[in-house]
Amino acid sequence: MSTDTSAAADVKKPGSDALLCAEGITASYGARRVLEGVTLEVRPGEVVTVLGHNGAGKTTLLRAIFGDQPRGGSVVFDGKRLPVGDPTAVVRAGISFTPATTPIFRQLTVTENLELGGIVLRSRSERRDQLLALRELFPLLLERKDQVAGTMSGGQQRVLSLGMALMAKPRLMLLDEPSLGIAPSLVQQIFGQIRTLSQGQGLAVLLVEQNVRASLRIADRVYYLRHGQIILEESAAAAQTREHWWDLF
Amino acid sequence: MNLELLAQLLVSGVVLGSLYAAMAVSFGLIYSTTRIFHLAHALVFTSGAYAAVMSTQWFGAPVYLAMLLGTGFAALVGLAIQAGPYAIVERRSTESINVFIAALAVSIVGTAGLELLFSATQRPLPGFPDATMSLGSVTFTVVDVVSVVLAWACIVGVAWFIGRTTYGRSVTAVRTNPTMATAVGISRRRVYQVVFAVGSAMAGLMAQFVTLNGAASPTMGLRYVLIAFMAVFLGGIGSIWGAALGGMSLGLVTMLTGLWVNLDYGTAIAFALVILMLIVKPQGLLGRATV
Amino acid sequence: MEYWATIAIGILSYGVLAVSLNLLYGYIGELSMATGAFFGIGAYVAVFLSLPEAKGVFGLKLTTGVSGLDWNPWLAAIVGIVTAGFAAALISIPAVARVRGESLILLTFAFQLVFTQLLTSMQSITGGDQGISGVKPISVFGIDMSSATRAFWLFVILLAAVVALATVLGFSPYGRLLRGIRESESAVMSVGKPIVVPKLLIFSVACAVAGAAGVLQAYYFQSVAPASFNVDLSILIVAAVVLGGAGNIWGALLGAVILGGLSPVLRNFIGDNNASQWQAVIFGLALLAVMALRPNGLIPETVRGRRRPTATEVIEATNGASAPPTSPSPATAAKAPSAGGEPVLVVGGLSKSFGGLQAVSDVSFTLSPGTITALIGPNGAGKTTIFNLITRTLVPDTGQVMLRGKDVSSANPGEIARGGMVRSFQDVRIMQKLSALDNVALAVPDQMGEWAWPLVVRPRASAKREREVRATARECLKLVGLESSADALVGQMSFGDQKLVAIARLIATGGDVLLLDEPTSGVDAGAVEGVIEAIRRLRAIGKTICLVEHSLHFVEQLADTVIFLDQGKVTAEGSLSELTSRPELAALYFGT
Repeated sequence: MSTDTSAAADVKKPGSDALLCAEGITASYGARRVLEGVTLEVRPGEVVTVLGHNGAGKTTLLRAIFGDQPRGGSVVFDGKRLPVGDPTAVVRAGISFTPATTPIFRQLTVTENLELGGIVLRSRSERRDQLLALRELFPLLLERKDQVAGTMSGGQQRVLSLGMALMAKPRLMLLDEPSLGIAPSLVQQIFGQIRTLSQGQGLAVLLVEQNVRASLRIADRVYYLRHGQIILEESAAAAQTREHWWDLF
Repeated sequence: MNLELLAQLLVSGVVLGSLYAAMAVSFGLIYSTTRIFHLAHALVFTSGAYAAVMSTQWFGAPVYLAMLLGTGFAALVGLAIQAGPYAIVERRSTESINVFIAALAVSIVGTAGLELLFSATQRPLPGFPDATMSLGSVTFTVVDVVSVVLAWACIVGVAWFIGRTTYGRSVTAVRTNPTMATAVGISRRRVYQVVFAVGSAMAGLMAQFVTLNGAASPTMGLRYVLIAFMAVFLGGIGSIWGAALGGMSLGLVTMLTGLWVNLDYGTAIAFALVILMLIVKPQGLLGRATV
Repeated sequence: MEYWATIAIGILSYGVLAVSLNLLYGYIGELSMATGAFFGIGAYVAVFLSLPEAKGVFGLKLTTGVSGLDWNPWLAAIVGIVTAGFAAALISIPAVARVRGESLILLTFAFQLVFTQLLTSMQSITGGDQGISGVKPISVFGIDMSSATRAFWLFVILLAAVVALATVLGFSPYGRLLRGIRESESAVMSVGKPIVVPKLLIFSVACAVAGAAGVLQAYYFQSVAPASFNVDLSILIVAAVVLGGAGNIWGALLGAVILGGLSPVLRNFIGDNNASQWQAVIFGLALLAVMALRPNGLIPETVRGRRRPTATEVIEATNGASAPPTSPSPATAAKAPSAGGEPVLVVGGLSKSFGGLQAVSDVSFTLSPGTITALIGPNGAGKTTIFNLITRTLVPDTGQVMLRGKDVSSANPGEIARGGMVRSFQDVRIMQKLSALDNVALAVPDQMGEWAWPLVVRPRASAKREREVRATARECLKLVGLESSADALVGQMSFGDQKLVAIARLIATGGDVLLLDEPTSGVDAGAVEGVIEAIRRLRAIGKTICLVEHSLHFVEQLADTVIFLDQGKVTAEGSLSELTSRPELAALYFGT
C-alpha cells in the first residue's frame, strides 16, 4: 500500500525562470541527518507547499533555505546565491521567514512588533509607510495597535506574524505551519488571506504544512517530504484528486 | 533604636545600593541578552578605573575628562573581550560553560597584567570636589551625590533605550525570541556588540566613583561584579528594574546590618541572604520578568 | 633539597585540590568556586581543635591570642576532614534541589566569599586577617615532620590516597552512574536509577578531600590565614582542572603541576619580583588557548573500555558469540510466555489538562505481550504526553494505570521503571561521553557498586557483579546488532546507532513493556532498517512494545495494532489498513 520510493524522486531540473532555486540541500543536527539532497524551486508569484509527516524535516528545510541552519547544497534567489548565517542580507534580498511557534514577540505591542518586522528597512519613513499600508490591509493591526501581542488569540497572532513578514517588502515568504495553534475555522480564513496576498502582490510563497487539504486549496504545486527526502512533486490540482495521503506520509 | 544611626546607615545604604544597582543593570543587560556568564566584567570595570587614573598621571588630564576617558575605555575593553576570546570560544564549542572558562581566563590574565603594569599599589583619582555635606546628623560627600544621580540616570537611560527605541527593542527581541529576531533580519552579532558596549561603559562609569571613594587597585572589580551577579539573580534575569531592585536591596542590607552587628559582617550577611534566596526561590524575587 | 621539597609540596597540595574539584566537575559536571573555602574549613577546624589554650596577657592583641581546645592533632585532623564533608551539604542540598550550572557557580562564589568574610570578621575565633600561628608541628610516631623533605612524604601519601579513591570511584558503577547523571538525569531516572544520594555523596567526598588538604597544609605551615583560602585560589584551581582536562585524573594532576610548577621556574629566570603575576598571565593565556583549540583540556576524558578485556570477559564473549542472537538471559527473557496473552498494561480514563488546554482526555487502552502497538495522530494529539503520564514523569489529573495487574497509578517514575515499564526519548538522551557498553550497563538493575561503599568493603563481590553486568550489557548490544561497537564512544556514533544503543539500554533494564518515542526519527535512510529489525526482534522474544511514530511508512512495517489519537482523545483502534480505509480519520489527519 505504501509508495515505495526509497530514492529521491526525479524532479524537474530548476529552470532559469525560477525565483528560488534550492539544490541538493543537506542538513544535520550533530549526528542526526535531517535533510538528504533536497531540490525544489519556487517561481515568481507561485504558492508552493511542502507536505510531510511530523519530523520529516520541513522546518529544517525552511531554516536551511533562510540560512538560519548550516547546510550543504546551494540556494539561489533571483539569480544570486544566498549566504548562510546572515539573516540581514537574506531579508534585504527579499525573503521573509515566519517560524511555526511563537512567530511574534509576546512582550511587545502590535505596533512594536511590526516595526521590528521592518527593521532592515533603511529609513524610518519607509517603515512608517509600510506600517500604514499594512494597517489598511489588516484592520486588526490598527484596532489593536497598542495591545501586547502575547495577550492576543492564536489567530490574531498569526495575522500579526503575516503583517510582520510583509513589513520588509518580501518577494518570497517562507511560512512554517501557519495553521499551528489556530482553530480549524480560522485556518480557512488565514489561508485565504495568504492566497489573496500572493495573487494581489505577486508574492511567492513557500508553505510548509501538516494540514494537507487547507494548503492544497491555496497552492499551485506541492512537494512531499518524507524522512528528509522529496519523494514526489505534483500540481495541487492533481493532489486534490487524491482521497488520502496515507502512502505518502 | 538609634535613629541617627539608622538615618546615616540608610543614606549610606542608598549610596552603596545605587552603585550596586547600576552594576547589576550593566551586567544584567549583557547576561540576559547573550547568556554569557561574563566574569571578565570585573576586568572591564577595573580597566575603566585605571584608564582614568593613568590619564591624569600620564597626560595630566583634568579629572572630568579622565572619568570620561575611563568610561569610554571600559566600553572598548568590553567590546574587545566579546569580539575576541568570547567569539572565538563560542565558535569552537557550544557548551556555555566554556565561555565562562574563557571569561575566567581573561580575568586571570587581565588582573595579573594590571599588576605587572601598574603594581598592586592603590592609585587614587585626585581632582574631584571632595566636600562633605550634611543634612541634620547625616553626612555624605559630593561624590556620593553625583554617583547616585549618575547611577540612576544610567539605569533610566538604559531602560528608556531598551523600551522605547527600535534599536533597543531589537535587544529585547534577541533576548526573548532569538528565532524570531533572526527571522526579521536582526543580526545577533550586532546586538551582542551593542549590549557589551553599553554594559561595559556603565561599569566603567561606576568604577570612577569607586576610585574616587578610595583608589584603583588591580583586584577591585571582582567584588562588585559578583554582587552584580547576585543582584541580577535576585531580581530576576531579564528585568532591568529587577536587577536595579536587587542591587539596591543588597546595598541597603549590607549597610543596615550595622544596626545590629559590626559593619564588617555586612557583606557576608548580604551574600548569605543571596544564598538563601538561591536555595528557596531560584527564579529570583521577581521571577522570570519581562521588562 | 629543602627548596625542591617545598616546591613539590606546593604542587602536591594543588594536586589534591585539583582532584577534589575534578570529582565534582569531571564526574557530575558541576563547577564549584568554593574549593578554597572547603580547603579552609578543614584547616581552620583542625587548627582550632588542636591549638593549645592561649597564653598571653589578657587584653593584649597577640597573634596567638586565639584559644583552642588542645586536642590530639590526629583527632583534630579527622574532625576537620569530616566537618568539611558535612559542610558540603550547604552546597550539595541546593545542588540536588534546583540549583545547577550557573546558579550553582554563583552559590559557590557566594559561599566562598561569606567564608572568607567570616574568617576576617570573627577575629576572636579565627584571628582575623592575620590568622592563627603557633600550630603544633606535625609528628608521626614521634618523628618530627616539620621539615619540607620529611613533610613531603606525608603530602605524597595524601595525594596517592586521594588519587586511588578517585580512580576507584571513577571506574566503578558509581562513577558510571555519576557520569550518566551528568549528561541526562531524566534518562537515568527513566531506567530506575537514583539521582539524589549519589550526588550528595560525591559532593561530600570532594569537599572532604579539599578539607584533608587543608588539614595537612595547616599542620605543615603551622599557621592559617584567610589569604590562603580565598576566591583567588578557587579560581586558580578551576583554571588548572579545566586546562589539564576535566574528567580525567591525570589531566587534573597535570593542571596542578603546571599551576604549582610555573612559579618556581619563573622565579629562576626573572627573580622573585613579579613571578606570581607572570605565572598568572601565562596560565591564563594557556587556558584561553586551550579553550579555543582543545576545549576538553590537554588530557581529555578517556572512554573506559579502551583497556583490553579481562580473560573472563573474553571467554564470556566468545561463548555468547556462538549462540544464536536471541538466546535468552535474565535481561532478555520474556516474563510472559506467549504473545497475545493477558494484557500486560491497562490504562483507563487518563486525562491531563495544562492551564485550560485539555491535552489528554479520557484515554484508555491495553497492551498485550509480544505485540507492537502504535500511537498515531496529527501533531498535538497528545501522544508523547501519554507516555509521560503513564510513566508518571507527568502527573495525570485522572486515570488508572495497571502494570501486570498491579496498580501503579501513584508510583514515581523510578518505581515504574523498576516495575518493568521503561521508555525511550525522542531526542535519545544517551550519554555521549560514555562507551556504548557503559551506556547499556548503566541500566542493568541491582548493582551494588552504585552505592560506592561496597567497592571498599566488599571488593570481590562488587567486581564479580560488575563482570556479570558487563556481560549482560554485551548481550543487549548483541540483540540490536551492535556488539562490535561495544567500546566505541557513543558521541562518535551515527544517530541511528545511538538510537540502537538507547534500545539496548531499555532491554538491559529487564523491563518487558517498552515505550518507544519516535524510534526512527532523525535516523538516516540506510540505518532505519536496523532499527526496525531490532524492534521486531524484541517482539519476537516476547516484549510488549508501544511506539509513537509519525511516519506511517514505518508504522505499516511494525505495528500489529494502531491507536488513532486526535486532540487528546482515542478516536479509533485497529490495524493500519482498517484505519486508513476510514475517510473520517483521513479528514482528521490531513485536514479538511
